[in-house]
Amino acid sequence: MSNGAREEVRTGLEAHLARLWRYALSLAGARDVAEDLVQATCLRAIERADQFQPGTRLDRWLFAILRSIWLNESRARRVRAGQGVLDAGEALSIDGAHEIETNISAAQVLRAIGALPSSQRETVLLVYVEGYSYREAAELLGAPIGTVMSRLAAARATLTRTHETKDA
Amino acid sequence: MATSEDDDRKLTAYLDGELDEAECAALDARLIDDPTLRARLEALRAAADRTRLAFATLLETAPVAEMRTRLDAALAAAPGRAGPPWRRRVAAIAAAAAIVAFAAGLTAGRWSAGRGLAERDDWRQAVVEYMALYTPESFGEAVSPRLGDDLAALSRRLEAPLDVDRLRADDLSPRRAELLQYEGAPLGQIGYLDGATPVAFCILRDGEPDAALTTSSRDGFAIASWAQGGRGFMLVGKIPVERLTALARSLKEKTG
Repeated sequence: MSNGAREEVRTGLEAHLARLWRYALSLAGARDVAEDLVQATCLRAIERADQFQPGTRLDRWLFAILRSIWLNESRARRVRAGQGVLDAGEALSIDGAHEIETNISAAQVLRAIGALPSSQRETVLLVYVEGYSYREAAELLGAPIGTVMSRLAAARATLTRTHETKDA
Repeated sequence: MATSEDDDRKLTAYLDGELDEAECAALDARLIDDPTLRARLEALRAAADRTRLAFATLLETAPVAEMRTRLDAALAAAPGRAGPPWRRRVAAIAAAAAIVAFAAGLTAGRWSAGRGLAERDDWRQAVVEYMALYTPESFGEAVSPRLGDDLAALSRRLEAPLDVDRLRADDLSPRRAELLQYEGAPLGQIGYLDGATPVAFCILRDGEPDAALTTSSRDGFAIASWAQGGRGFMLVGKIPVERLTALARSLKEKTG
């Protein structure tokens, strides 16, 4: 491994720690697991620094590594996201729905996002927060572009409903 | 709301700039004639805006210092080797089939954490974090064709007259306008490009007390803030602070 590439990845990833953690949190749903995932991602990225293509986006490369670690680990234990076991969304009720609320704070929105199916939550984060195009998100997720679109539309519809209920 | 899932998909792709030209034109035509569809478009748009803001607030709770320390320690102990402890923790969680409350956990962390900023600056911090995610493309290749309508909507919600003329500053013209919200208060954001650098002018109608124009820097951004007439204002961008201040003065004069 070239020390130059390793050093470049090592210094570059510092700038992305917070966003990696946020992605990890939206996959894993627990803060300590998110930290562990980021740590594993950083170490693997440094190990494989020579596979990083200079001139491409380091953050996107790191996101792909993080996702792959999470999936492999989950798959190994048959708890792949979407099968429900680690799916935070299905276990959550939207407990604020019947409260009389005039303000939707960030915390409430986050609760509603937490209640989305994890595949929708992940897609929303990638496209609306991290700026992935549908095509880029589809590539990372290994899903058709139509699936990306459906997940986003369903998530928007749910989040709209949550908001309307609180307003009512 | 009487719109179909198929419409939601189309409206979503439309809002995301992912609809092809023909479909876009067809939808534009329907939107002109169909107020229900227009209302649905706005509702779906607001959902994504709220999501962006909510996720932006998460960044400030990220344990960056802890992660950095831990990474340094791991690298010092075994350069280039990934240690196994994280696997044990993930495994323990998986084995216990722990149902983890995404929002409960993270919001508890957020709201109990000490906050370094005065309350009235919280929304400004959220904007800065949100801005960090922008690229020149975020404000579009061209001026938004909906700019006039969007500004009219902003004017109503913010109860402040906003139009393209008032929002010109030096050689910059507004490119797009969006209605966001912060904790229930309407937040207008007007996007500019200074060369290739995104600059945003934000107005929050939150009843904050008048405050003179001040400038600061945060995370590489120059920020000008002031408040007037029950509205908080900020101009933010990664441009020299002198330039930003001059632009802010001009905007303050015309929108005050």
